[in-house]
Amino acid sequence: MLANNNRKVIDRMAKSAVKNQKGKNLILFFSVVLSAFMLFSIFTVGITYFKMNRLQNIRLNGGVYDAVMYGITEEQLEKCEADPDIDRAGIIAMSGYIELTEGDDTVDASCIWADPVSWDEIMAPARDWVKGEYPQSENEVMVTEEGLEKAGLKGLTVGDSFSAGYRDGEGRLIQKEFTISGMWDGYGTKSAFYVSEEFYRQSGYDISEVRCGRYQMDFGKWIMTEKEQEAFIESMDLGKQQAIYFTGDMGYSLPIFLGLCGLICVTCLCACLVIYNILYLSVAGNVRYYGLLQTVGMTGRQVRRLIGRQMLFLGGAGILTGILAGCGVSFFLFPSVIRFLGIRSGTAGEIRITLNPFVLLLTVLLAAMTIWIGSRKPAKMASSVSPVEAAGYQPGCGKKGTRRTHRGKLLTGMALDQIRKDKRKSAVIMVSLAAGMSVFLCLSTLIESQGARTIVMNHMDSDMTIRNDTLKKEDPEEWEDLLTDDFLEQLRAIEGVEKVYPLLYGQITVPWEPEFADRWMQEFYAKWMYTPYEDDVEEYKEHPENFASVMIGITEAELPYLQETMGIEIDREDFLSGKTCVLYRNDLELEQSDVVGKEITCGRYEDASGTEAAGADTEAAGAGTGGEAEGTDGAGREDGLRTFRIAGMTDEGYYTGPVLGCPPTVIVSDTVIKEFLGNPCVWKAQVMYEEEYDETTENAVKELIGNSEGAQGFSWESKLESMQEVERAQGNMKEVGMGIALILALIGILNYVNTVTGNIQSRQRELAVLESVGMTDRQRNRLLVTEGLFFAAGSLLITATAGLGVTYVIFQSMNYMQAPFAVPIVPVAGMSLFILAVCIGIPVIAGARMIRKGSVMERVRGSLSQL
Amino acid sequence: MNDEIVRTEKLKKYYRLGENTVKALDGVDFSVKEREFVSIIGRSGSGKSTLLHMIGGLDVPTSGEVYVGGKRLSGMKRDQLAVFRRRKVGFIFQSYNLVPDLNVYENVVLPVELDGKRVDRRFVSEILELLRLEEKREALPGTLSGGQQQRVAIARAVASKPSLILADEPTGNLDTASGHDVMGLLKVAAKQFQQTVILITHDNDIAQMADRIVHIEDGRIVESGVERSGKAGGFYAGK
Repeated sequence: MLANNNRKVIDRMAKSAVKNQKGKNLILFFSVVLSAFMLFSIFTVGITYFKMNRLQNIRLNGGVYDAVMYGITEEQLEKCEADPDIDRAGIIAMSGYIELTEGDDTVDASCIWADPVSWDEIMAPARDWVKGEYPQSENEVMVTEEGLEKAGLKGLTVGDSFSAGYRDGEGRLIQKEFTISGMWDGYGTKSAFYVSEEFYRQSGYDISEVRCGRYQMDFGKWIMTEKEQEAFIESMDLGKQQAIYFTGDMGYSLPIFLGLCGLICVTCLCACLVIYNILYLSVAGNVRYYGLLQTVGMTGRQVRRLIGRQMLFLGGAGILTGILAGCGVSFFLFPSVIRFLGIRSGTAGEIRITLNPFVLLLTVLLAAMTIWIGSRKPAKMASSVSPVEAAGYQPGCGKKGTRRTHRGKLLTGMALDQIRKDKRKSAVIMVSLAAGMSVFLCLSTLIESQGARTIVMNHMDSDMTIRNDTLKKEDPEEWEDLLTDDFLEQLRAIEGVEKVYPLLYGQITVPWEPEFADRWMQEFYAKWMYTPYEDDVEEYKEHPENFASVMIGITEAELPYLQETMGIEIDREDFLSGKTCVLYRNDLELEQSDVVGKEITCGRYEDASGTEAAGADTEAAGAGTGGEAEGTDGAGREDGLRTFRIAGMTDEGYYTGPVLGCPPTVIVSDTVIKEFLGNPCVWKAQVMYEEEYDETTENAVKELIGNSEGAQGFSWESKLESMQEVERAQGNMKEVGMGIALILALIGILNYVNTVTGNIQSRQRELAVLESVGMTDRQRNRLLVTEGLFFAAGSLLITATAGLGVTYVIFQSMNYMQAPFAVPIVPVAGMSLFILAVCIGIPVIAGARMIRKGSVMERVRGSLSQL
Repeated sequence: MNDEIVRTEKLKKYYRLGENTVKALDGVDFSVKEREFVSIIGRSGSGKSTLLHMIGGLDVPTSGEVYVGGKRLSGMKRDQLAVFRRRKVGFIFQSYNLVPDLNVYENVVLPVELDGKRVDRRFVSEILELLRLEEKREALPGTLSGGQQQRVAIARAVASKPSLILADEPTGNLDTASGHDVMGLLKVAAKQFQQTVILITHDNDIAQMADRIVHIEDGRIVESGVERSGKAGGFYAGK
């Protein structure tokens, strides 16, 4: 048998089918354009988003590294250098702390040496600009303008010299003349003074110490599983004080990668659903045509090939147009819109969306695959139509059987019928709309959690923390009471200030006793000290005043916040009355159960001589109080000591004093600290504004600080300033992210629009029949709107259940910032309303367009164009 | 002229087909009296269906006027036309045009329900019984034969008690026996419910069942009808 080459005929027929069925093919073409467009946009804008996210993390971390090791020994250094998994590693060494300069005697700035890898490679991407050179000689420093200003040296520049007092590794305060060899700006530790290697070598610090060494490692890969991370940490054989921390994005790299894959899959699924829906509708409306083709001798295979060719023409043109549209949106429209909306254009970096050839290839591949998958089933359906069926085929009359007569409202019943009629199609419409909505929900929740305001969190979420830095000075003579009652009153009186929580502070001693103090000190030495406890224990027993510690007093109003940080319940009355206290854990390996119920005895630091005497008696005193805890709780004693029952521990670093002693930091209520220590100072105060991030109030507070006596002694941490810094680090990340979320939501919506339009087009005859027996336009609209509302309700229900569940899982897997899960109300409510409007509006518009196509009878028959 | 229910004046309907203009109706003057049974016959493409659609408000004329029950259709808006159709006119189409998702009963009462009126169940049952559809009340159109579907269409046409029934080749898709059966039933129903019927057909035998026959050719009425029932025939061709 001779093979009949019919490809040409099929090609010609496919071409003419594309030309002749303009309406249907236009929708199909548009669907392909849409799919290619959204895939391309998602990849292009998505890559930009993740680049920006990485840039944000680089900026927030102050460099490109995946993990940092605190303290590194020679052996560990050798091991790391030999480790092929580590791409590069830099060393940072804390080499002293500047405490005073000519302009400020309460400076708190570290002297840091960064090795060339760290400075030139790891930290470079986080810097905006550099002037001058990195310090080479011992007296040279590299600074930022901000650092100079904070140190009271505003206005100095490269080449200038200044005198400063710094404390070296041995604890000596050394006065030294420094020269500024270079300046920089960007992100990182901006208050630090970067020093030379020579400076570090003579500083008395060593990188093997946890207080000094920071070993920054870049593994040069995107994904590192938790197991790999644990294995690496294990291989380093860390000392008790040492720790390795992986950066947030590396720590969560695998879940983030999986989350991303999930998003891409949903996008492809949406694209696939669009094409499948439209093709299915198109084939369903052309059953007669395909049947007739078979009647005249076309085989099923040829029908499939015909549809394949049609899809090739439409797909090819659609993908090309989609990519071009994607380019337009990604490279021109999108940045313009963001620039237009970008209120922070002054500080935000330029949006750089780059075209990646891999993205192009991936888009073409995925779109082609989607078209292929989406068209398989309809092609199969078309080829299986029997010629007899096609000849007798009357659209809409094929349904067999009986059904019960409607009860209730006619139009609602008819609308429900439409939904039930083709359950699969209805489900596809709802699922595709819900998929778009869910992706929007998921992304907007993630993006909101990445918002500067969410990232900037502090204890109590206060707007400002004001500190009295004079209390950090070694010489008590230099301490000043800056946060006086008068100052605090003025602070409260500022318009816009809602609450002020002062934190009282006083020095105490914790005399040795075997039950608790001894255990604590053992743990403390093991964790933080380089000398063994045994060497010092005798001194501690004899002279507890040489081991001063801190007592912190909090107001009653602040107790719930303290409680929140503890994880266990404490008795309010006992705490307020001074029967119990809370300790700051200081990272010691102690559990709540190790300390709760135990007693701690404190003495006044000023009573040094008395303490000494008391210290000698402590063993007896401790033994004496041990058995009758209730009776002695919080009791003041003749010897000036006071014993508290320990209610628990907190890890919140806010509850620490200007210095951390070896014995525990004891937190009590403000009345108790006043009662015990006489007149303690306010060490810091948390300020909350009536309106968060209120700039006017913040300026007024700063003005009050600036006009106060001893203004130099104040320092503050402002939530507003931190947020502005994070916003600067983020650039336009949020807007780009929202853009992606919107594009994805748009997919679902356009899919719905396409499907519903196609569906109404295929029901044109049925609707015309209804019109012929007296259905008014209003009634038709009500019918279509009711259908739309059912679709909207269905998809919103799926989104609110399955969508929210998936969002929660993805959110938790990608939540390396530990942001709380909160659905952003405004965008989600806005999107829901928009969906509702679309679900109502589109059927009405499609219906209105349909009636313009001709008279009722023309639409019933589908015939001539009217004069 | 008081019992005149339908009247057309210089009715024209032109279509554009490519570069040519098709004159589907070219100045038709025509009238029908109340309770009259009129057949319009003509060849395929002669304009008979177009005339029927104009009378039923399903299509709009290029020019000329249509009056039904004394009301001028060209002055009505789309929604008014729809209300007019469901209250005043009952349609029977060659291809039945039933709503596939509604069962027989629902199809029959559809115009009544669309009008927001209470369905007169006894009256509907009477119609279904008359048209031998009582047992098929809950059947979907897809399960019915052509003759049965056309009987459902007749039931639907008379259910809202319209004064005018417009039947467009109602027997066109039926075999001879079913065609005669349907026509018999249509005639009986129209008589029982006192309705005027305008029937389009190209089948002379079927046309003979009417009180009057009107010939249409190339969009014009070319021959007046013969009054078969003794009633006065309102024929205005060439008026």
